[in-house]
Amino acid sequence: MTDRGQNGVIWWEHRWKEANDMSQRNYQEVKQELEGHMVKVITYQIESQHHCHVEIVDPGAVIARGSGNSLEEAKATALAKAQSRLSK
Amino acid sequence: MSNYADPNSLVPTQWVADHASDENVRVVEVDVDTTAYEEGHIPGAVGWNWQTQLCDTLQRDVIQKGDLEKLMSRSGISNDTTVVLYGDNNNWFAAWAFWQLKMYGHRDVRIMNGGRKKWLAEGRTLTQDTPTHQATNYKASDPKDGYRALLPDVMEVYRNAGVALVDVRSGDEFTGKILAPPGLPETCQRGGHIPGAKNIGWGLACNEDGTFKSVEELENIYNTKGVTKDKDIITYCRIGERSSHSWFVLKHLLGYSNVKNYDGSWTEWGNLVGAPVERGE
Repeated sequence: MTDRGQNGVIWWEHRWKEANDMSQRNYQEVKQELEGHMVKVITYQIESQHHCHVEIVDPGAVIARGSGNSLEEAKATALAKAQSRLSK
Repeated sequence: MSNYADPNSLVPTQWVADHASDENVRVVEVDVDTTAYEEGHIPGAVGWNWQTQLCDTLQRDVIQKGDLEKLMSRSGISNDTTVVLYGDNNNWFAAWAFWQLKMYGHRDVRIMNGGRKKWLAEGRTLTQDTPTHQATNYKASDPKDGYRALLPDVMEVYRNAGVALVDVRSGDEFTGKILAPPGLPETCQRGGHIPGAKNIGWGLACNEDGTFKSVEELENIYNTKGVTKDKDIITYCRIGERSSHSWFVLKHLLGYSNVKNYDGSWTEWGNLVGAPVERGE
């Protein structure tokens, strides 16, 4: 079901549904250090919108979230918020 | 999931996919991040906001009975509805809602194993549509004993050998190095923990995909720290939601008979004038 790739990236197989409802694509988790803390950066796409949230690994809480029309925009928004919070 | 003491309290994502639209089933999302629901949720799921709908918004307290009745009625939940809760952060606030619903006597309430994270990771169907359900006339019972520890209860028993206090915060919060998880508001005047408490982080109960660990693994985590079935157990954290997650594990997955959640938690104890505090491990 899961396959761990390079740099700690975890990809999940996902299935598609032919329906009016949406499903997410490109779910990805990457662990990295931010302001001296290990965080998990989680990205995925729902329809045309990209989403990112940043989770502090210990104790495991979402501390920032961002959305955008591109993966880069969503990640930049979430990481900037997370960095601001963690640097205080 | 049949090894768990109360296997009906936990359902897999596939069960939810198969039953979310059943007439007698209501799926409810409760997130730490209250904007997550709008981003996309399980079709038919109602969204509850823990900051405004699952607490008393005037004084610090759990939701009042009358407000819970209104919330359940508005959500189309009857007394005999199967309520399935899920949320982000491996079900932190889903567990918080579960604890309160049980305390107010709802018969059939369950948690979706793995929470929002697993549903997303599996690429399952989402929607941004907010469902409307026909209102019901929900009647809650008075809060039942045996679920909640209040400050006087903890003050009275925390030094008793037969009582196990379980601090489920991170190691750095427990030792007093920090006052709150990094990135979250500091809500106490002093760092440390209640004397005698054992530090068993809530996250130890979860696998990488957000699901709960096996009974054997969970028993090992708690037993090696002296948190055993024969003891009266009180869980606490910072504001009471992470500890409701561990309360769920101990009470419903492991079947420990006397487990209470001290929802006042460190934001209460760590602000009390003269309350005894321990620092370090």
